[in-house]
Amino acid sequence: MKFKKSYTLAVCLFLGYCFLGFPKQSLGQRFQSDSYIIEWGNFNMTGGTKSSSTYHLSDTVGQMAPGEYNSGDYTLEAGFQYIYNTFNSFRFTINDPDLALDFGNLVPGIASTGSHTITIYCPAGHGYEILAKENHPLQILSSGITIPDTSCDVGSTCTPSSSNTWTTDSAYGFGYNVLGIDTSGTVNGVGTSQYFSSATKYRPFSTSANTIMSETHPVKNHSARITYKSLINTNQSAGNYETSINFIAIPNY
Amino acid sequence: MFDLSISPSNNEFFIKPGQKYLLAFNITNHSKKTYSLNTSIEAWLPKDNQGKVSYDNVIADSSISFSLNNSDLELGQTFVLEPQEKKQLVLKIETTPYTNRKDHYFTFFINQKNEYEISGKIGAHLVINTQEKQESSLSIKKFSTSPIIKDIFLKPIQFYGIINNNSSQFNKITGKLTINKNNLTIKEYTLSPDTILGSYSRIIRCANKDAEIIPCAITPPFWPGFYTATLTINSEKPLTAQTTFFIFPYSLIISLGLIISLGLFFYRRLSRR
Repeated sequence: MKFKKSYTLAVCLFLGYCFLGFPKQSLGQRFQSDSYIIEWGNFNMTGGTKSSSTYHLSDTVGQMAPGEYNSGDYTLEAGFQYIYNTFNSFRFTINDPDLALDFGNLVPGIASTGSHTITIYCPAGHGYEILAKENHPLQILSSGITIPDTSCDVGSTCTPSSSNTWTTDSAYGFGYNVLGIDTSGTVNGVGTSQYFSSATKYRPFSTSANTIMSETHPVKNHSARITYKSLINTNQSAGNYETSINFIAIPNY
Repeated sequence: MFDLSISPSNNEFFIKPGQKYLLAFNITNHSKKTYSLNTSIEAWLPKDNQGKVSYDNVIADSSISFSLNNSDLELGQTFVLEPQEKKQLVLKIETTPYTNRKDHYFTFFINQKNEYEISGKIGAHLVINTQEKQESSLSIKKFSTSPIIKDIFLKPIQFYGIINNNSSQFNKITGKLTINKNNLTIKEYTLSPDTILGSYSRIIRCANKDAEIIPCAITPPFWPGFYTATLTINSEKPLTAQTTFFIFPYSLIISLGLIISLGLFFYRRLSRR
């Protein structure tokens, strides 16, 4: 009986010491030898991407304290799985501070142009496509009088899906050109050369979306310069002409 | 300025008819401006065999419905995203027991409200299959090489393959491309695990160890002779297609012929003098 009591007491003391007496350990694993100490290491049992003909799975087993933690000032994404969010992120930028383009006062027979750049980032997957459309031709909203969408030079007709040369001052209208550029702004045609082969090739906008830039592989920060051009004749009515241009960025599946 | 990201951008999954599925998207405003945004869903169909899509005249299957599971937001409702703010939107996809058993394709769009002259819209794709059983039926539609005249020096030899998906369920291309000469493997490429949609086809692409896309090609110089290229697609029964080609030293022979002809020409002229 005495032995039983002492035994129970010893077990309780031991358990109490284990749960209360030991200093609190961090959740990370700690490994130590004479020559190294690894603290807060993550030693994963398994991880990576798995796929078969019917599924694709990415996993990490053994990750310590994974998950998303938020407070007022910070968001912590802990765990290797969040790397996939970064890789599978799709980002589109229109680099125009005011998202507005003002041609100013148009002079008949003299082309007015304006431009801004766009940038795409899709580091994983199968590339991207950027499309553009207008909600209507440049028009005076109160009267419905328009500056028609361009059909480019006589003899080199362009359509919403096919660009062509627009250089003569007698071909009136509103159109745009898109040229791929590098980080220093030099034209490289990347992503755009199949749609606009040079700076003189233009297209009219349309109310249905048309592709202006695309690639079929992952890219990081590929940019293009959009140049808008408007040219009127002497018969064009005075007034404020306006429209809205919408750019749509989608990944390839 | 419009600067928005969406993650994840490509989503492929199976839903049994009559079941629901929740999918979380992170939307981040990377700019210094506050945006008024709203959400929408549009159906699409494949435009080509390289992953592009078309929204023109596509009628969505009305037996698949979408809503947002966020307590403060409905699909199509305007919400505000402050500079550098990230918002999680949880899309709920519901099917009915009568949903057609096939692939369904949609894009979840984040639209900038039309308050500027220039506006942006960004989307993430949803590839959904609603068949109760998973099936696989792939076939190699085409496997060829270019250019037709293959020289030891002049041009790289490109390999071009198209895989058909004969089922009505999306699938992944897995397999390899092997190039042999005299029964020795001189190059082997892993195929990029691209998605082939049900009843559509896709062009093969090659990937390196880091899953980066590289050309399915071999570059000169080559040894002259017969080569065999084998395309292997992993399936229940692995599919293979072979093509053989001959590399001939055309440029070398033409160059030597020209040099010899010129030599003979000048030799004869000098001999006459």
